[in-house]
Parts: sequence; C-alpha cells; structure tokens
Amino acid sequence: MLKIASFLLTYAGFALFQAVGKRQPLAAALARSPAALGARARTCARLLALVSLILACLVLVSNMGWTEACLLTAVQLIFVASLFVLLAPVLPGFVWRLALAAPAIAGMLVLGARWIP
Amino acid sequence: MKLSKHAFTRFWDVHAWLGVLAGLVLHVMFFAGAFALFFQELSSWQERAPVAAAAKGSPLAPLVDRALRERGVKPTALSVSLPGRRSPYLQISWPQEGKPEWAEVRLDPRTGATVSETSHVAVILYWLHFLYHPKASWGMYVAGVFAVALLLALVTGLLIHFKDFVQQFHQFRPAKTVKVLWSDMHKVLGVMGLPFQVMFALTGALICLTSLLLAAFSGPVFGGDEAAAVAAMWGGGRDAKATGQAAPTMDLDRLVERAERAVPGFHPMFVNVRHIGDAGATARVWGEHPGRPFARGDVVLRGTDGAILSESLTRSPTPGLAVNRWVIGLHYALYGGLATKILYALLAAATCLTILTGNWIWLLRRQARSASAGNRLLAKLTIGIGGGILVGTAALFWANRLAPAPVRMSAETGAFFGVWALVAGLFLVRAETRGGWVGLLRLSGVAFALLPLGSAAGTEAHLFNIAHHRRMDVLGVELGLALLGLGLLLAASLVTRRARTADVRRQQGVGDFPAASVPSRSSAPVSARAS
Repeated sequence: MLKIASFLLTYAGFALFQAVGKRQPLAAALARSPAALGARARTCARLLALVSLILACLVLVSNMGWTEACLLTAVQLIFVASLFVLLAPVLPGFVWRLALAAPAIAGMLVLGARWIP
Repeated sequence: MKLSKHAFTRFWDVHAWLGVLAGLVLHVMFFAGAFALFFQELSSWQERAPVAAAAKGSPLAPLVDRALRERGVKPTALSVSLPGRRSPYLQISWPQEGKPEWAEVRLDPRTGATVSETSHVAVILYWLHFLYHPKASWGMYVAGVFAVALLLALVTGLLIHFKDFVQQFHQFRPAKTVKVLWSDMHKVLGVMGLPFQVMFALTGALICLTSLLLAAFSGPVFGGDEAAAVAAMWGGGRDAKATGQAAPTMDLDRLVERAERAVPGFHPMFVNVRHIGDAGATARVWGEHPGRPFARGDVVLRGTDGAILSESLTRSPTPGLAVNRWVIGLHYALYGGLATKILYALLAAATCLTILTGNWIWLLRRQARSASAGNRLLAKLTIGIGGGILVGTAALFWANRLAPAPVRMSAETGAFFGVWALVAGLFLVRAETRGGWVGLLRLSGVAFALLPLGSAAGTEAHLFNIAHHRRMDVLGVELGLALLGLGLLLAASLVTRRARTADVRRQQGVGDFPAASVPSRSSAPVSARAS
C-alpha cells in the first residue's frame, strides 16, 4: 500500500510540474493573471510538485531505508514521466483527473497502511 | 548548448548508425532482460511440483558428498547453490575435464535424491539477456560491447537533442503524421528514460567486461600478477593458487556455519570452493545481508581451517567491491522489492519501443529516396527479429505448459528459437511487411492472454485453482503474462486505428506514408499500409 501511495504521489508531483509548463492551458491562465501572481503561482506549483516527490520518498523510508526509497522514487519518476507525456495528449481527461485524485488516494493508502494491522 | 553544424552532423550520424547496427540486438537484450528480472519467479513457475523446502540447518554436506561419490567424481572445484528463498533445490556443479561447461546436478535437499531438470524457460531468457551460453561464454563480452555502443548512442542522442531537451516534456503529437509520431515517441521515451537507459548501459557494460578489463590491466599495472589484480579489485583470498600440498578441506556445512558466525544476520545462497584437497583451498560463501543497501556480498574463508580471509557484507574492503555492490544492486533491481522489478520491466519495454521507433524513423527518412537493399533488409529484420521475439517467447511459455516432461526442455528450446526463426525467415522472404506488426502483436497477445487457460489444461497448479495450491509464483507469472497479452492486443488495436488514420490522410494527399513497410524497389512512392 505504501508503494502504491508513493507511486501516486510521484504521479501527482509530476503532473503538477507539467500543469504549469509553458504550453499547458493552466500556464496560459496564469500568464493572463496579474504578472506577479502568475510568476509566483508557477514557482509555488513547482515547489509543491517537489514536495509531492519528497513525500513520495518519505512514505517509503520507514519500509526500506533512505537509499532504497530514493532509488525507487527516482525509478517511479522516470516511469511516470514517460507514461504521462505519452498519455496526456491521447487521454487528457483521464490523466488530469487521476492527477487530481492521486494525492487523496495516496493519503488514504498511507493512513490505511498505518491502521491496518 | 548549441553544437556546430559539423559536430551536430557527426553526432547524428554516430547515433543513427549505432542505432541501426546495434539496435536490434539491444532490443532483444532489453526484452529478455525484462523477463530475467523475474528469474526466481519463472524458475519456480516452470516446475510442475517444486520440492518442499528443507528444514533450516539440516546438513547438506553428506548429500553433496554422496552425489559426487555416486557419479565417481572428485572435483577440485565445486559450486553449490544452497536451498532457500531463491530456489528450494540444492544444486551442485563442478568442472569437467576437456569441456568448457560445468556438470550440474540438482538434488532434493531433504533426501539428496537427484531431481532432473525438466524445464529451462527462465534460463533461456536469462542467458539471452547477456548473449551467454556455457559453450560460448564469450557472448557475454559481446553483450558488454553492445552495452558500450548503447552508452555512446545515448550520449550522442543527448547531445543532438540537448537544445530541445525541455521541449520533450511536452511534445508528443500522435495526431500528426506517422513520421512525427515515431519521432516524438522516440525522443520522449529516449529523454524520459535516459537515466534508466544510461544506468543499464553502464552497469551492463561493467558486469560483462570487468573480468576482461581486469585481465587487460593486470599486465601494465600489476606486472602480469593476476592474483594481485584480483585482490586489488575484489579483496584478498579470491584467486588463491594451489600449493600442491595435500590438505583436507572443511566440509560445506562447517564452512557455511563459519561464514554465518562471522557476519550475524547473513543469509548464505552460494558456496564456491576452489582447490579442494589442497592446502591453498578457498571457499567463497555468497549471500544476502539485510540492513545494508544492495545487501549482497560474500565471506571468503580458507578451505583448510575456515579462517576468514575477507568479507564484503558489512563493508566493502576495496573500491572495486563498493562499486560492484552498486552496479549489481542497480542492475539486478536488488531494492524496492516487486515494485522495482515491475517498473524496470515496463521501462525495458519502453526502451524496446525507443529502439524500434529509431529504426522506423531511419526507414521513413530514407523512404523518399530510392530504396537500398540495406534499408529493405533493416525493415525486414526489424519486424522479423524485433516482432518475432514476441511470438517466440509466447511459444516458449506454451511449450512449457503443454510438452511432456521427458521432452520439455528440447520442446522449449525448439519452440522459442524455431518460432522466432520462422517469423524472421517469413519476413525476410516476403516482399512487404504489410499487416506484419498488427499480426504479430495480435498473435502474441492472444497467446500470452490465453496462457493461463493452457496452463489449466496442462498442469495441476494454475491461476484458476490458486486457492487450492497457493503458489504465488503461479499467480504472479500467469497473471503477468495475461496482462502482457492484453497489453499487446491493445497495442495492435492502437496501431490498426493509427493505420486507418494514415490511410485517410494518404487518400486526402496529406502527410507522409505509414511506417514499418519495406521500401519497394521501384522509384514510385511506397503505397503499403502501416502494419
């Protein structure tokens, strides 16, 4: 369960990073907003994406130690990046909805892993 | 970083030619490697009824001695695979005079009875991954050379696309022409998968070529003293020479017990003993030590009295061992459990697709000019070898499930290589590869997806009675293969849909022609469908 949660957090992090990329609709909306807010919003979004990746690693640390957790998170990120960039133009609805739901599902899985004996 | 035109052209040429010359072999290596990740699971699945595990601590030395006595051999070197999580069997092997390959025998660890090997599905795919065979062990060095070629292709690819690196995070245009589709897919998978591919190229090259490099360096650096070179790389006591003085060698159980005592928490898996019966005998007990990243290493003992010569489980006595621990750990996915293996397998599949799209881009770019024999051959080999291995692998698994035990091993070998060669031969002979990829994807997809049914027909333990036998290896392998089959069928459906779009474009006179067809000899544009 923790590994699935970590995977979903990695996915959510990468999706957030992509969401504020130059050619994304969200980036266009941010660009139209007052200049200062737009620039900060992109930076904040990218920081949040990084936080999500760090959480994805932290979720695994208790299970397997720092070295293995960091390596598994890196492998997850590589896989998620490949899959996301290929699927986003083909199944945009599914991809972005999953990205929105991923943190919530991950949170439930982490809580479930702690409570289930 | 903007390259000069000359540098860009040179790097492009190197990248393209390496891809064409080495791509299909690397495709086969990555494909087989995806299965090799699950060597333990496949080794267990391929057996109809694996033996029960031996009780921990039960003596194994008497069983080994009896097996050797029954065969009338007194080897001076012995390799023992201990029963445990990796395999329930006690496997021993020893060198044979006049033959490069070692004799092997597999024993029931409770009774010492010989258990004949009836299948080698896992071994076929594992050896194919690094082009190895006991009678042609130099194949491993060839695999190492191909790994270096991959590294060069990756570096040149990175240099070519460095200026557009960030663009690859957003640029995948499946609705555009086929040429743009393959180009985008190649670049996206190449860029996103770059850390994974570089890691495998580097670790693969080191694993395959280290012994060769060590031999090469032993001359200029160690004055020809190979033992010194081995000691500097791997630590002391590993290449001890025979002294010529007879001395009894400690038995297997005591050696393992000494190793376990030297490193608390150590789980031994293999024992290699050299110069048995000589005063210079050494034993290397190799295994796992949880609590340390990539927790594998060995304890080297003096064979006569079990004195510890070196150990690499709690620390790495040489830089070579420290590097090797990471190399092996990363390459063999010795971290993160099943999740890492599954991710590695999926990324290996993505790498196969990267290589194939590279070939298709090469062919599409040259389609407009008059077709050369080389390009026609490349197109045929790409589908025959690149796609044929899918069907061959499916045939391998079916042969395991349906062939009777006495002929199972030869049936597996025949099915795998025979079907693969047949498909490759078929496409070499055919004028066009029209419909080829869709056909191969559908055929292999159906074969893999229906394998659990074949297993149910041919074996007692299968996916549908998992509650009865509770063999997790059967559940994992058969479910995994069924999902692979469904994935291949989905890929066939996507290719078919894309081909229809390409046809419509062609009729409207828009865009270039579909890929994966053999360029025709005439100067007229190719009119083949996308496969």
